[in-house]
Amino acid sequence: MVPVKLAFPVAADRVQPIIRVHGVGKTFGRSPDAVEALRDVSFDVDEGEFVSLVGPSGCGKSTMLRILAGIIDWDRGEVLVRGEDPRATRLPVGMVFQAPVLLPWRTVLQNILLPLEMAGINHRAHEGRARELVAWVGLAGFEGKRPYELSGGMEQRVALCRALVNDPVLLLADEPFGALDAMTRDRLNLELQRIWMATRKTVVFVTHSIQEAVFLGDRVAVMTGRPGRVFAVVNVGLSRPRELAIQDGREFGRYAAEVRVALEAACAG
Amino acid sequence: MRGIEETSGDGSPVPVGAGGERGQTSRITGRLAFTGAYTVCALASWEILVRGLAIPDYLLPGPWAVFQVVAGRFGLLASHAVVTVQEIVLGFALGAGLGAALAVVVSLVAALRMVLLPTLVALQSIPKVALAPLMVVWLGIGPAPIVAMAALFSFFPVFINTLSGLTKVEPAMVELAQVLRATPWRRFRKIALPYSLPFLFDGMKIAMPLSIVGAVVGEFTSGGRGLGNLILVASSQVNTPLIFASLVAITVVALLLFGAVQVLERLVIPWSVQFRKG
Ligand SMILES: Nc1ncnc2c1ncn2[C@@H]1O[C@H](COP(=O)(O)OP(=O)(O)OP(=O)(O)O)[C@@H](O)[C@H]1O
Ligand SMILES: [Mg+2]
Repeated sequence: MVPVKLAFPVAADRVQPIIRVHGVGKTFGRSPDAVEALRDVSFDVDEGEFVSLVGPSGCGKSTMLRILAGIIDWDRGEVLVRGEDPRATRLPVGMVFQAPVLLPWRTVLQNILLPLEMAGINHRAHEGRARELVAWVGLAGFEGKRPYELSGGMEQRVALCRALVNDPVLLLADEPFGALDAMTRDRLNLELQRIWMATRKTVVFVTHSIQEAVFLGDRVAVMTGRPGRVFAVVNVGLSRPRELAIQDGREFGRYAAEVRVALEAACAG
Repeated sequence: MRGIEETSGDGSPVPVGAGGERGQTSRITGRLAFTGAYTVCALASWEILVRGLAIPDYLLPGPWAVFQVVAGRFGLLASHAVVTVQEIVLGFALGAGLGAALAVVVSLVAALRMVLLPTLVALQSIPKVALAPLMVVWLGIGPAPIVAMAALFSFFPVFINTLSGLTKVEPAMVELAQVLRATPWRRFRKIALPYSLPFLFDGMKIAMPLSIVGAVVGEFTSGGRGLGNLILVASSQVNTPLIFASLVAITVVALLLFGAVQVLERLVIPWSVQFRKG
């Protein structure tokens, strides 16, 4: 059995985890049609850590992410982001959805600057940073294009830039590359790792792919079926930067197998 | 579906093949040729029918007779058309402007929606043609009741369409705004408002022909000048060719005004779905 990593014992010299989720429950709807999405979910994420979240479909991964983003309420338990309630905090959070959700009337650059405009920040002053991000994800020259002139992979890169432009304390990603072909997905995973290594943002990354979860994550949290809770956490000891070829190696295979076994056990009950 | 993205970072979009463009042009010419041939055939059969059955002009003039009136009394038709166009444009601007503005207010104030929406739907079900005499009573003879009729006819489609756009913003965009912790005003200004523009233009495209109906009905009841009036006068003189010539003029006016809305749409929302190629 894989050890379950629960809340840290808070030692004096230990950094506070940036995310603290303890005993969280969430039920949608009222009693006859109520759907219990989450029950007793607990996990912590350290500052600068990359955590992958996997679990069977409908187990509440997106719900958990929405709670962390401060979009929806939860019913029971405690959720803290840097010690604050995510619904009330003014801390900037970046989120990448499964679909790019770009605004069709805005150009690439204007889309990326949206979070600053929404926060009432003088976005002209940050245009340089936005352009830097664009170049960083390999979209230089496309700043003035509209979303419909881009491919799905390019759109998702723009969404990634938009999530990073206001220098968020936390990057939440909900199967961001799930709709893309395998080659594009591999490339974007490499880019995401590069960006993460350069910025050391804390990332919570939901995915359906065990491969992706292991390749990107410092840790992989495995959730049970609905009502979801964190069943196991697999520590991935692979050194960085990780190359794509690492996925063919024996060490990678061992971690992937560990996650798969945990997933199967989680689904079994 | 979109394919794998371009790897090049030089910013050049995939060039549209010249052959493709030529293909499109030839398709358009083909369609034009078809429409032209079809129109000529229809007009010719009409002329032949009228002459063959020796139908008198006061019952049904042939296209040639109508054309002669259009050409011969062009100045008269044009001077009346100008009046009608002014009334339509003014009434349409008023009605559409009011419709869009009210949609914004109703979308922002939920309480208003519950009061205003049923009231407006109830008012909308009154046959508006029947309101023309009332407008004359309220606003007197002259252009005012005609403008009011054009406004009345164009208000509702713009209102209901714009409201629909403002309140049906994609849930994903709403979530995005929530993640960004945007104030309600910024949400409205930067997401709901631009999102609703294509809906507004759809409403305007429904409203424009209706506001022409409104203006002509207004002219029927309130007198003065304008193409509706010209029809009334021609009818009292049993000058059927002039009636037909006026109808031709109204049709031209309708096409031009509808085209103007389309041009405006293309200028304001070039990003909208219907303008995307391929
Ligand atoms: N807004 C909502 N109203 C009612 N039920 C909801 C709502 N959102 C989610 N649920 C329910 O909560 C459960 C968990 O949903 P969630 O989207 O979090 O799952 P998920 O793990 O992200 O699934 P997937 O991997 O398929 O994306 C599902 O059974 C879903 O039906
Ligand atoms: Mg989901």
